[in-house]
Amino acid sequence: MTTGQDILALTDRLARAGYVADRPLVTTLLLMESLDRPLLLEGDAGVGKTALAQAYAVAHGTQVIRLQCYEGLDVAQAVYEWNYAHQLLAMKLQERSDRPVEQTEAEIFSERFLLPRPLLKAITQEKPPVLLIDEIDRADEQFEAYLLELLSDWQVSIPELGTIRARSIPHVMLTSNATRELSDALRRRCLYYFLDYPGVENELRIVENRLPGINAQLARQVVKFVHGVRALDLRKRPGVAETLDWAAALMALEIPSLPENTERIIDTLGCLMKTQEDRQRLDGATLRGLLFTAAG
Amino acid sequence: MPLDTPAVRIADFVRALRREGFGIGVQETLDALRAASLSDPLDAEFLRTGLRALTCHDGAQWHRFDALFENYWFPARAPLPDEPSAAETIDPRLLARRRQHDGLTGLAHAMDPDNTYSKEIHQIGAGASRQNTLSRSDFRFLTDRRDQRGIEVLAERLALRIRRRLTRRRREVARGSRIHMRRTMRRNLATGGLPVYLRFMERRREPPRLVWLQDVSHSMASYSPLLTRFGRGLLRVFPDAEAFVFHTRLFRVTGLYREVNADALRKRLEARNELWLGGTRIAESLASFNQWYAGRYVDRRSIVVILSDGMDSDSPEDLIEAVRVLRQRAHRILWLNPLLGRDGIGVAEEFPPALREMLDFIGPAHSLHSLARAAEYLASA
Repeated sequence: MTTGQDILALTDRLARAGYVADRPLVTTLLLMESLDRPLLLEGDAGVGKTALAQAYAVAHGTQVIRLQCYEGLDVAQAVYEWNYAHQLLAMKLQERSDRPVEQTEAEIFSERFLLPRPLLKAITQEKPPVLLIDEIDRADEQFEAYLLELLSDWQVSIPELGTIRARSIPHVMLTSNATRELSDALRRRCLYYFLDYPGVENELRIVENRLPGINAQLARQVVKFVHGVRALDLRKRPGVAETLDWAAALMALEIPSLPENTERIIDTLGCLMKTQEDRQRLDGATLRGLLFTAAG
Repeated sequence: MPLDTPAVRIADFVRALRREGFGIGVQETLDALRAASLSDPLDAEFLRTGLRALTCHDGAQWHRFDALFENYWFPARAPLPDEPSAAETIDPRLLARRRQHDGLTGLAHAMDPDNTYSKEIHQIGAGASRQNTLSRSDFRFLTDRRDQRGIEVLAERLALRIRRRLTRRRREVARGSRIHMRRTMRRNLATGGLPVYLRFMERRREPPRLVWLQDVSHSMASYSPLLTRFGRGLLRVFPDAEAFVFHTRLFRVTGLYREVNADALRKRLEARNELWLGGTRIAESLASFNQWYAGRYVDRRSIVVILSDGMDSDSPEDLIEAVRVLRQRAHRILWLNPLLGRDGIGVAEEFPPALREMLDFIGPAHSLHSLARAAEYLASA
């Protein structure tokens, strides 16, 4: 039975790991554990999808094993590969011995010469790690189908070696930026959570949690300013990571409050806006309006 | 009357969601029941969060879920009923029939009028022949808002389908420049690992870069929603795609087209009022594309898709010159013209010969069927 105490306890552990999570998110994480299902996290870049996996691992005292997906990702990079150079060397060394070929073959295709990649590594740990499959939408459909099989059977078949079964079932988190549609089968296998930009109060807690020395007035102004920027029609809206970068930059410059330091704020806006197009959109009048709102 | 048990109610709610287009299988239903049993049955927030995580599979469903949940479990707090569609206003029996059907699910008032999923279900439910007719009908004659939105969704799906043809995996080949170590090792076991017989691999064809140039002038207004959704789908499929719209000026809209939520995209495009009014200067827009963007976004791997009815205030010579410059950089140029779908209007009337010979593909773009042909060409180009 999941109780309010469980939710509070996990919220607290995540906060200590540097992640401020709201109740629905924590409830979903607890369900992920109870139902043994992977969690698919979607949302804009920079809302904290990857950070969640890292904080969750810290909260559980385990490690994160991360698989960064990209187009063309295949089994050799995701699951395992043979160490060809060592295999060649071993064969050369055994050339002059009288051992039968079958024995040599069995030896060079043994675990000694196997290079485990993130997926194999994740299922062979004693203590369940957090397996973070990042940006799954960048991998192609064939890999997605393979992943689906792995997520239901928890075993990897290596033709030369046999089947390796999982020692422990990892906590799996998948992230996606929705650059392409994922298959229905994969979506149905996972619990789903759409991570949105945090509200003002939640983001303020995040800033205060990650930058403990920040002056309270500046923190509130920064968060309100960033919320104003997100409402603009931008190519790339700033995420939480950008808020933290900017707040840290302002702290380093010893700026106590936004409205009195317009010139220096313009100099630091590169932390928030990463394209020239977006920088141009924030003209003088818009900037003054945002500063006025942030100060209010 | 005896009250239903919580399990029966949850199963019924899951069924209702399924009718709303949520793809929920038996396993999810069982897990929903398990999730519900994990907490205090009176903790509505836990139930909401759990069911949402289990039954939603994408952002669109996620954003609709709360309203559906509220309407099922707390009908007293339900918002006002949805407005009838154009066809339902003309024939009230249609509205009554739909309401009666929705009423069975307990979600009568939860139907979002802009809900794309239920539109699709609505269309598919209406039979294949109807869908077939819709896919061939000229978009400007679809006055029913439901049909329009349904077709837009299908256009986007159509574009997404190309992806399957564009995967980039390595494959084994007899001759190539890169050695396939695994196969080579297996092949040369008999020679003690000495690589006598080499096996190679190569990358499959690189996907083309797509440049989408869409005319959004007044004369194209009735086709813009369909083409925008199709373009949006293509942008999600082609990794290096760029989108531009033009009327009297050219705007880069790649960021807008990558907007995850289609309705948000529509609102943001409509908010840019200047995009949707006024005449067209195709030649000048293409020339400014050549001047400012072509260097960065167009190379020998690029496919440029121009969508315009060709009603231009500039001279035809300027247009030919602009396309000629573009031709020198691009791999392929496609021109899709919605007017070609009309009777009596052919390629000869719309395109001067000098322009025609520079284009690799000329086709209509007034219906889903015509877009399917263009998509087919794109997938094989």
